[in-house]
Amino acid sequence: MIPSLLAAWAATIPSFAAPFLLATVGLIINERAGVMNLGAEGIMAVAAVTAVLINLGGGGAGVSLLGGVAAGLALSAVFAVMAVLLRVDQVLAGLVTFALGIGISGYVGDGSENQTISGISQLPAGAFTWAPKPLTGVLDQDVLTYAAFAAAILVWYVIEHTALGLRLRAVGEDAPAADAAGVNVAVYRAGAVLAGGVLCAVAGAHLSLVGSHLWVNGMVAGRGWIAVAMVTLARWNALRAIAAALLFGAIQALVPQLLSSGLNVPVYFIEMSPYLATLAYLVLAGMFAKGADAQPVDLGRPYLREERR
Amino acid sequence: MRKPIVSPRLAASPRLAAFTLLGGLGAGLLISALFLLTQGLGLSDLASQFLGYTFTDPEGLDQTLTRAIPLILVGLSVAVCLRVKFWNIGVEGQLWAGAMAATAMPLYHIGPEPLHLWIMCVAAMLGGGVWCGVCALARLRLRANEVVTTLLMNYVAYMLAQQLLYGAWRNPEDSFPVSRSFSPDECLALLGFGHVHAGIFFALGAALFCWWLCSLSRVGYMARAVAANPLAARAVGVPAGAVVLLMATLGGALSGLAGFTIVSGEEHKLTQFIGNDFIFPSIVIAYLARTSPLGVVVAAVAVAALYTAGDSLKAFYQLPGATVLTIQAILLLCVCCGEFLLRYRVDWVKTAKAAA
Amino acid sequence: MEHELPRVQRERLDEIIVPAVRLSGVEKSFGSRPALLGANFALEWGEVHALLGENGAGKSTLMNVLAGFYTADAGTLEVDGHAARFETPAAAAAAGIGMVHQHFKLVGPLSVLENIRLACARRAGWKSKAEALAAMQKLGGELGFHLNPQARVDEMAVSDQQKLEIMKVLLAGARILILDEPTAVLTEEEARAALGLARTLARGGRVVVLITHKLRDVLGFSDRVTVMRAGRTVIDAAPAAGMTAASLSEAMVGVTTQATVAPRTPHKLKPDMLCVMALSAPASAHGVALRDISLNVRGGEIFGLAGIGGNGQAELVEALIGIRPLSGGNILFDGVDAPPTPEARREAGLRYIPANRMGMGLFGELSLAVNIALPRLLGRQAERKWLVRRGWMNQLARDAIGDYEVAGAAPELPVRLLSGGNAQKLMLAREFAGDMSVLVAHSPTRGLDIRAVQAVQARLRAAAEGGVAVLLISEDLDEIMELSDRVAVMSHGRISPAEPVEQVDRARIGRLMLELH
Repeated sequence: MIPSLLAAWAATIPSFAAPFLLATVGLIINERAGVMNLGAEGIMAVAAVTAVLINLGGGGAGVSLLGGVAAGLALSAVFAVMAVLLRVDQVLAGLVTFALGIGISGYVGDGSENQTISGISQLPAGAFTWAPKPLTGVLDQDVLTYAAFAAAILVWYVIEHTALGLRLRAVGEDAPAADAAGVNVAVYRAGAVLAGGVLCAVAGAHLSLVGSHLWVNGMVAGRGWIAVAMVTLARWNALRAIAAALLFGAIQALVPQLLSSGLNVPVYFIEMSPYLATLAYLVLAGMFAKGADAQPVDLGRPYLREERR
Repeated sequence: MRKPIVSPRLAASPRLAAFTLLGGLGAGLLISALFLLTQGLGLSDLASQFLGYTFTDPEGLDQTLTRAIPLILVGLSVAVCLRVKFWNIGVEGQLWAGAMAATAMPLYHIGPEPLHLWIMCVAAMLGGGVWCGVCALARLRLRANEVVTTLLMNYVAYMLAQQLLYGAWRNPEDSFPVSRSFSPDECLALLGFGHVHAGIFFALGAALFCWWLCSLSRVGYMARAVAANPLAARAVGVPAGAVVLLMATLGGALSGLAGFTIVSGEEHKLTQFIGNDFIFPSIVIAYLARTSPLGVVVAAVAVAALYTAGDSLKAFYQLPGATVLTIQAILLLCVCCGEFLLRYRVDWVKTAKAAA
Repeated sequence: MEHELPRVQRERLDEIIVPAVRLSGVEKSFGSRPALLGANFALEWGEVHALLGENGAGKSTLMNVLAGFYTADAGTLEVDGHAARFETPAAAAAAGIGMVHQHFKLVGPLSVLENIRLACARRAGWKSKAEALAAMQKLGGELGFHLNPQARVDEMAVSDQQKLEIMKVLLAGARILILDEPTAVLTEEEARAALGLARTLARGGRVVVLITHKLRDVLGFSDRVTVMRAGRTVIDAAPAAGMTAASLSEAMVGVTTQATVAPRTPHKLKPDMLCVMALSAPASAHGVALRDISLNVRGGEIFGLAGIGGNGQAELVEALIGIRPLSGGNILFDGVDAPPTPEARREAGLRYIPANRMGMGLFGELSLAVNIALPRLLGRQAERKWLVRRGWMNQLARDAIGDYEVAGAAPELPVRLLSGGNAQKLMLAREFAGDMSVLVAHSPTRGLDIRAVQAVQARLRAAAEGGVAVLLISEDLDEIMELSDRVAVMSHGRISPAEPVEQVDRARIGRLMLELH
């Protein structure tokens, strides 16, 4: 019984992990460019609700996804204007973005709660019969979940190994120096916000199109905030984010397994565990940090060329 | 051809500061009003709901004042923390921690009966203070970002409360996830005007205390120094770490006190939903008040009025609950953007090429 | 001869030589503060051109305009005879202008090669990391620089960082190089090498601008000199051969400064007020470790600690204030162990003037009144604890402004609006209040105009005459020699034995600055 329980659990992990991964990688792009974006939760919410509304209105899975991305991109643009152009305090701008996202999505989705949609389905059943038995469950995911993991690897490669990524990193580590080297700081930061916003939006769309197949007010349930914490956990590295997302996905996937197994478990304590785990990580990282901080040095500081430093 | 050059403003007059605040608020209110008008409200409806009902109608005023009590406290909480550049995103968690601590006192019969109320009050402040204080310690000692830690602590507190309400503290009589009701000794007395209770004295008293602390006591000036330049503050002899810890713990205690006023003044027991929807309003209030404790009182009453109006809009015009949050977001957005004019100046310069 | 220019062979006497660069009538203000009021500047190919002036004269600002970091409010610019206006540093780089700033514009956590690729890849047209590496190594060979491409910039020595900056501008195609205070952070030997390199580069068909305030660099290495004062050009491209130190400094400050050294009155010295014994402290990220430092300063004397910046002076000051943990040794105030906290040391009579007054001393955003009053609110002996009135603070500020002649000041004004000299006077006003017994002054006159320098030095002398033990740490050897009773040298975190100033020989001090390790 245990192996089949484990296999069942393992099979659900990737789709629980995917939204975390997408949001975290999106935020990593933001933060490596020096922008702290606390609005992820709001971006995910508007994307989720838009995807559902389009799907309910008759659009296919692809169109719904694109609609969700467009909505998330629009909200990211608002954040970019506030944080990069107007140089509002990034924490404040992020909180406003969060509230706008939650407010607008709650407003727009008011009449459409709890209506099931077709969403995105798993890949065809026969696609993985070639794999060894225990793995078929794990490999049997939908396209979007696969795309999430692929995106993480792609983002890692671009940031660490391309000229574009080099300029992005320079902007996040030392904006005045990057400016002196000819990099347009505002453009790169805004670009990072929008690119990261797209990934956060996909994360939100994943929640409704793949995860729950419906919209409920509050369904993002703090995942956007956890993603903010996971960026620190992943030490601003998209590959490590995969590991972090799998960890959180595993814990979240455990809850329904335990509930359906009939064991008498303190549900809320289990639900609390990812948050406690992140806190524990922050404490341990602080205690054993190896001197060189992976945090981008210019994170959170708005940049303006004429300022005399 | 003219193009804009942005540069930081060296000195800003108080007139400009007031202008940008009021201008931002005005713009935000205008946009919100337009938004509501498109939802089917008439102009006179707007006026009567937002200005009339909330302040002149006894029922509306009752709701506004009652709601304002915890809002003043959480607004003070964020404001006090902001004075040392500590972002407190965890007022809900601290509120829950305070509420749980307060509830635990009568449930476990701690202390003599007549003093129960005061014991609950102190316990709430301790609970909330610790809930925020540990995050401050984590920032000071472990360089942990307080935005993330205070945020996560919200969830921990909420889950803990739910676990207790469904478990050990569940009301034995009807098995609902609420605690047993408090006895009159354990409740804040009503003041004879609707639901408004004695908690309002706690809230106003807290505001006065914070005003004295920030404007008249040396702690306030030490906090200013720490916020302006932490290195210079340490060098000149300000105990910077202690000041941050003190203000953060005070902030937590204020939110804990808010939890106390809710369980003792409104609900008379611990219920599942007391802590909802405080995070964003607390930030809005603290920011609109520009962290001034007395300003927080005004802003909190205004936000409370917004909620009261929102409730009746929901009842009479079927507007979804998310409306109030959206309006707050729009207001804060406009005020933030207005700040840009306060901190930076835009000069238009000609870009004509120099003659050969 | 050192000053001969390789003149372009003139075929005819009336052929006009097109200047490499000509700036005319440049104006620039920062908000309401004017920095340039009609400055002129002209460069010719093949020369080393010194741009001289005191701090605040506008030389860096003018060059920043040339290099595209600032945009001028008015004036014209011609490069090689063509009108130009640079909105960004990239535009100036495209025109062949590159600037090496005093505070390097390098991205610390990135590697040497990454910094070069970041700055030069687009201009140089490199398509791959390999191309960039090859170009870097080729240039390195030509210049005699050997930098590790993978090294992290913030872990390199300052002189290596400067070499990287120079390589960056050259690889980006700069033919007009601007070096802002290139020798400020170098030892004498490194400085000579850098200036020699500048000359070699210039002779090779480029032009090098040296922004400096060191008269010796000007007279020894440059072909022509431009002097700026208060935002204007007072000497426009005069040949260096015809200038003397006296004429240059007169142009810089406007009045001939008599080197007035007040006769040192023999004063009664109190016993050791400050005693440092075998002090050691570990190095922080990019700093220097303190090794076994011992010194003692008697009440009434000025102990001068000479040395090039970056050899542990800042660390020593922090250790004395109490914000840097020690790994060994002891600090005694008046024979008693110094208390552990900065607060308590202040109460015991310690005062300090940091080198970085806005970074570690004053609170730029807060008002004068709060800055002045703050120390009096601290500790057990605070003058006010629970009822701090604005009126009281404002009065303290007004007294300070009057006693110390702080110009352009009002109690409610934020301190960052004060000019350098006045901010320093405010710092003194704050620190000299109360019972001062030990004063640590780190580069107290750096960046100040002549009048402010004299005012500060007079206060230091007066403090010593009043019985205070003064530890003066300065990079300005003249200042040390003028003010101190005893002198020692700090280098690489160590201190030489102290000697009375009469017995000190400048040449030996210079060697000590380099040799101690």
